[in-house]
Amino acid sequence: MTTEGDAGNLVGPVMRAGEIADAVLEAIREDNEGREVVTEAHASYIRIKVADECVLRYETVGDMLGRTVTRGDIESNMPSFAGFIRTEPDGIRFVAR
Amino acid sequence: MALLEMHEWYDLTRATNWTPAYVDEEALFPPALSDPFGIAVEQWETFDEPYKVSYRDYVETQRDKDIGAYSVKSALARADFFKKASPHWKALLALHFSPIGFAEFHSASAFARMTRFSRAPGMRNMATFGTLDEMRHGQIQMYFAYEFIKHDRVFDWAHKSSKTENWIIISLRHALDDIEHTRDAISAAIMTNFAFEQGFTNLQFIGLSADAAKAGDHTFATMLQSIQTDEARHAQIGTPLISIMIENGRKAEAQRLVDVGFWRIWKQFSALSGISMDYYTPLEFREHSLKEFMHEWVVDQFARNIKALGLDLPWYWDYFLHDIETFHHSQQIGVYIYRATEWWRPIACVSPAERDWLEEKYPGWNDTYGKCWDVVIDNIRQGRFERTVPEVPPLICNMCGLEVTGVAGTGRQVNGRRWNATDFHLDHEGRRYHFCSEPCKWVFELEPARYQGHRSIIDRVLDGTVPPGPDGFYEYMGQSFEERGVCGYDYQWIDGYDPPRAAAAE
Ligand SMILES: [Fe+2]
Ligand SMILES: [Fe+2]
Repeated sequence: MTTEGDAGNLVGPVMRAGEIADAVLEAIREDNEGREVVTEAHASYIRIKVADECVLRYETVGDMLGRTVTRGDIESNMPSFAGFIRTEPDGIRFVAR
Repeated sequence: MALLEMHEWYDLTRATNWTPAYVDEEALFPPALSDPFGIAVEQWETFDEPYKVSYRDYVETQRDKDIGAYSVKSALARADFFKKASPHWKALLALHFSPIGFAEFHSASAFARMTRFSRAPGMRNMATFGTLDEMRHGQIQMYFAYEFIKHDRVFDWAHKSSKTENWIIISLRHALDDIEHTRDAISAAIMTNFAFEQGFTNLQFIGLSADAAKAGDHTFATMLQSIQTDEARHAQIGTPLISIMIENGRKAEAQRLVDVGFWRIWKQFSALSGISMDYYTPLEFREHSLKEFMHEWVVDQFARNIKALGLDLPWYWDYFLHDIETFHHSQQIGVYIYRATEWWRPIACVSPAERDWLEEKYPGWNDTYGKCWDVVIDNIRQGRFERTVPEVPPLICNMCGLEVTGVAGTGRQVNGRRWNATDFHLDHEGRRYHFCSEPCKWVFELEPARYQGHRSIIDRVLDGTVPPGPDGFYEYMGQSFEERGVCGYDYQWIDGYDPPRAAAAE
């Protein structure tokens, strides 16, 4: 069982289970190279977590799916996230503060 | 002509503060509605939306979300999921849809006030989208519930509940009136967007969606998560506000808003999500217990944000951790035994197998709450159904509006029974107020003038507001005879306690 904060500073999106979630996971692995990407699957959603900062780029997600992916495509499939969010022109950055 | 990228024009179009010519600044933004903290407008103008969206982009995305959720609904409508659903799932859907639809319109109104009165242009942008989001949430849930009316009149309460004086609705309305409607734009936003939405909505709209997916109710699961994708965006309004408050010497005020808002909304979710996850969800579809979901979403994910922003965990945190494991279990007993005061068909959900699960998730459950259920079970097996319904009304908390309860079997012995229900009370200006907990009492003591005029449903019985007679109470609460809850399993759930009888029937 967790006590407050013992998940360290893991941050990142919570995605609705499905093909966008799978592509987001692959993209995050690529865009956060050299850093551990932790996943936690639940029946309807998946948590994707990276320590301190997690970068998600729309173009990389699009490469995984072979089609253009927009901010809206991510938002529609992202019911929550851990940490704080910063939307940027080409993607989303999740930060611990 | 090529369109500019959003980041190229965003800052310019956000600069929507100007010097009013026809009225003065104070008339346009009265401090009581806009900012009672006296923070300079230049400071509010530093509000930088963590989650930026353009209107064009917003409309497109929302349209796609609706297409997604409504198409799952119509594709599955023919499957007749509802007709085949168990009384467990029907009770869960009723408990979700009946109070929540209108609660979303409460939020729409609160967001509209933030849009009008905040002095931070960036916040006004986000709150505009928030207003539209919450209208969508009200409409989609009202519409999805509407489909069930032809099978079950209980779903009439998705629309009706908010206009009644039913005790559960009084409880919810008191909390929402307090944090959403009777504060300035900044306070309401910290309480609503941060403490309520960032703190708790994930529980019901993502946690429960996992149970729904397991139960095969993909329409419900999709709807819940679709709604929550809006929350993930607009719930971010609170974080820059807290930072601005702290930078301008208002940390104590921000802390208090979080502490009050968090407690008030926890009580609501404890009953709603607690009963839904640990009781109404059929055993085989339970992804996690309330306690586990609370640890995932609140104790870990949300508490980290509180601290990262520079605030402290609420002073009652240890008590809260204890409450996560207790409060909803006693509320479930109350909801079942006072079932006639609810409009749906409450169910007990304490079959032998369900008790094993509860004992595993909450060690000690059988020795505490289980003992109370043993009495109910014994009465049903003896055919003494009338004894499963208490004759006296419960003591209701003057703050959260829920039953004053405790953990059975662990406290002081009274009349040969142990029960540690403690009535935290307070004498104020000639009357006694009762509370379920120290934090509920603390909230009252912070601002007695705000809360003292409220009369709980029991106060209304005692002062004659509720008409006398056997039907007076129910009619006052908007419940015709057919709208009074009866056991959803017609007591047959106790068959599992009678192995010989079950074996003989085979
Ligand atoms: Fe909402
Ligand atoms: Fe919301």
